[in-house]
Amino acid sequence: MEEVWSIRRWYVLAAISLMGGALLLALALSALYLPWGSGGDVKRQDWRAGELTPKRGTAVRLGDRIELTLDATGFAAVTFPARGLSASAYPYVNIRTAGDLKGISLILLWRGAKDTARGYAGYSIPQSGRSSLWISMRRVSRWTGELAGLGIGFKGRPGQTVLIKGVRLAPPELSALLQAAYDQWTAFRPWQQPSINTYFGVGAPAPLLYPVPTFAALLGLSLLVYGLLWFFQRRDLPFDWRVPSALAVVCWLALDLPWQGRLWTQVQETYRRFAGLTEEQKHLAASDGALFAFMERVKRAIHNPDARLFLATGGDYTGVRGAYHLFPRNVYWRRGKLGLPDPKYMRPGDYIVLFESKQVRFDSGDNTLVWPKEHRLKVRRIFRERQGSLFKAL
Amino acid sequence: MELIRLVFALALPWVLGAVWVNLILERPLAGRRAIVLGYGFLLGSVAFAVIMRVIDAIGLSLSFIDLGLAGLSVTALGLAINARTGRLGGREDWLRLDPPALPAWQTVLLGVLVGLIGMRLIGLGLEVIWRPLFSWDASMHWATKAKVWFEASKIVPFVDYDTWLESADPRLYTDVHPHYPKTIPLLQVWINEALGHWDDSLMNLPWVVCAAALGLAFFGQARLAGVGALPAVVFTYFLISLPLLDTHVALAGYADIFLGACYGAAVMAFYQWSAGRGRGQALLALLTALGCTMIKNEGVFWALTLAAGWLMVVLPRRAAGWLALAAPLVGSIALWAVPADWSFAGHSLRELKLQLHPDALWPIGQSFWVSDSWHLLAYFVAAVVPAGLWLLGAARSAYLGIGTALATALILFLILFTSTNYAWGAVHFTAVSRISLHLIPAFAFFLMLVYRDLSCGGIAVSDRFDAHQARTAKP
Repeated sequence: MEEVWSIRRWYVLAAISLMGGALLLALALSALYLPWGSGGDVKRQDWRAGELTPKRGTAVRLGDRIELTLDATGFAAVTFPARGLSASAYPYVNIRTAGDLKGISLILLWRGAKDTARGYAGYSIPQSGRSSLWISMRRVSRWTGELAGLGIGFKGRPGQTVLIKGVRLAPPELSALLQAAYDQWTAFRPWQQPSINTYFGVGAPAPLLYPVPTFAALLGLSLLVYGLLWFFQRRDLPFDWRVPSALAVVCWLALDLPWQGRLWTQVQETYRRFAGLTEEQKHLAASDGALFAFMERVKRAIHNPDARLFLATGGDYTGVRGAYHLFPRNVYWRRGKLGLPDPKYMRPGDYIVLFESKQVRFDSGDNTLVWPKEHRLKVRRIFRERQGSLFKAL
Repeated sequence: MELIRLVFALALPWVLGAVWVNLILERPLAGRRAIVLGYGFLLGSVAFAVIMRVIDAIGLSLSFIDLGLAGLSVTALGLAINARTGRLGGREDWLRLDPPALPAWQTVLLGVLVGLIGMRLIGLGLEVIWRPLFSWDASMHWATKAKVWFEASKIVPFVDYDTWLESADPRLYTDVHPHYPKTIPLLQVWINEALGHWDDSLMNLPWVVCAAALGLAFFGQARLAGVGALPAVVFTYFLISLPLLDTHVALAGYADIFLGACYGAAVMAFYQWSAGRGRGQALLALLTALGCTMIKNEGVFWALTLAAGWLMVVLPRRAAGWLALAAPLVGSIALWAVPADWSFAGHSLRELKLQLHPDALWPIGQSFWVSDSWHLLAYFVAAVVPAGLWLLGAARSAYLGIGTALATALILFLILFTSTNYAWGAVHFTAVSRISLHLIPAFAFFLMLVYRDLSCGGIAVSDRFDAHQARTAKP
């Protein structure tokens, strides 16, 4: 047994270094994030389910929990007696639920004592999937001053239920900081357009800590501990590359496992949304499904496969995707210029597709499209829908 | 039937490339099978796109039958030459398992990491299969061409906006970047031709295979470089687990991961050649560098960085030193002398708008040190590479070629994002990490080499473990 736990064993050294690094990191975070002096006098405010007041939806008490059912609009809310507390003294909020929260979004609602005219402020809570969810309010702009009201809103499908166990407000504490940071790191956000450009490792806005610098600091401090151990014991303890290597792999895995988890959550979401659908059904189920459906109708309305199409949209995104959906038809859509080109380039038989365009308007009086720089074009309207129209140049 | 055609479409460029890489590569070599498979897909994909262009140029249609027959013919030719020259090898050469003798904990860790890599690729594959084309550039200028060429079964020209407006030719098409290289959309056309219908989910499966091929090429070259089995797998896992690399597979449709894989493959092969590991590696480096130029315009610049590395290797030390000193001056004169409208690799000085953008430095730093796009890789490179160059003494001369190529690439990268209008892409995080992806696999390989030399003096960790055990064993 002594041999296994001998400090000469590289894995024991690695474990000691990692623990030492974690301790130093905790000290550093405490120094950076926790108040000095008398700030530690504030105590946690803890409300159990029995102390919450249902405001919307229907509530049933089940022992130490409340079962809240969302109303016909898909909303429910509870409040708790937080009147008179100073918001800035409690930068962390902990919501404890039970069961599945899938498909339900949570909103923290509060009103300041001086905010009577402004009503309740709301903060959409990024969800990590944990039943005990920690939220940092440190960088939320209206979370200041004395609270006059505090609650949580639940949005989902009508009739969905939520089991609430309790809510607490926490003053600046290391454990609250770390749990809130963890929940920010593991909060799930489905793919967005900027996802392809960079990944910051957090699913919440205004993160407390970024994961990469945090784990780089942990690794650096662990290496420092190992370096000190080696330096003071160097006669008996040869430098062993397996120790820094193991520390590096552990820190990498600590970063990668949440990323792997996020990818799997995303795959499940993607499966729920698209699996088993045809190519066309997938596009209809996508976030730009309405745009796709419109462009399909445009394509069906144009019988000449060689016809030229000019696309004007209300934004770059609808332009990029709209043009993509119109291909393989011969489409002209110019990025950054949401309108149409000079009408001298347009010929009878060309088609003009407008989708949420603000620059081009149709003058039905003389069947003319009008756009900036006094550009006008005689057209025939093929069809019109709420979001867009198709015209043929005359 | 559709599944068979899909598997065939994915396998054909891969087998085609592997057959010819097998012919190029010396044998026996450590990691050879992984190198053949990894480089096989990367070079096979580029070669298959070239075959498609030839088919189109001679007036045949880009149909499944025509393309399949052409691909099979080139593969069969490669197989015949392999057989004739005795390079094909027997079943034993390809299927034998020779697991390294590792301590139990290393075997377990190795298994866990290989499992994590496999799980990652399966997850990404499912995402690609289910999700329709999603991302911006993929919809804006890559899949646009694929859609038109698939519909027409031929490569119809894309022209710039003004030419399109002036022209009355209905066979001309336009999009945001009409002159981008054709390789990526052609791969999408090929998958769709095999399926027999347009499917903008399945056409992106080559992105998953590209990640797998990059991992194989990386692992194979690591083993060839003398890295032990466990650290080779650890570094391969590091590479395949990089979040932005994974994202480019999951949201497939951009060319960046193909370029990153190809440039990484070129740099790895170039290093092996410079370390005296055969002419086959030189040819692999040359072909993958050429591949870079056919994937994205930036590939031309990255390929040129290998030329800089090559000069450092082949020139006498004194001449190489003078050249390195003169390079900034030569570069500055070239920038001054080149006409502003002269376009090179899709870029002109007028369009680039040379101007210093110091505001881009902080976002560039954030993209490496704060964002999670690369996990801890940038920290590792920043800590280990300088330490290696400092501590390794004479041994660092082995890095002259690869170090020069990567230093040149890094300088070009910094110039691009701090001195041209691409700074916008750094300040708004739209391009800086994506362009970094072109260089990341190569830097990961360089990091692994330095780690190898620092940790073991060129000996694999397993060997070191044995040596350590032997040293500490009681008599």
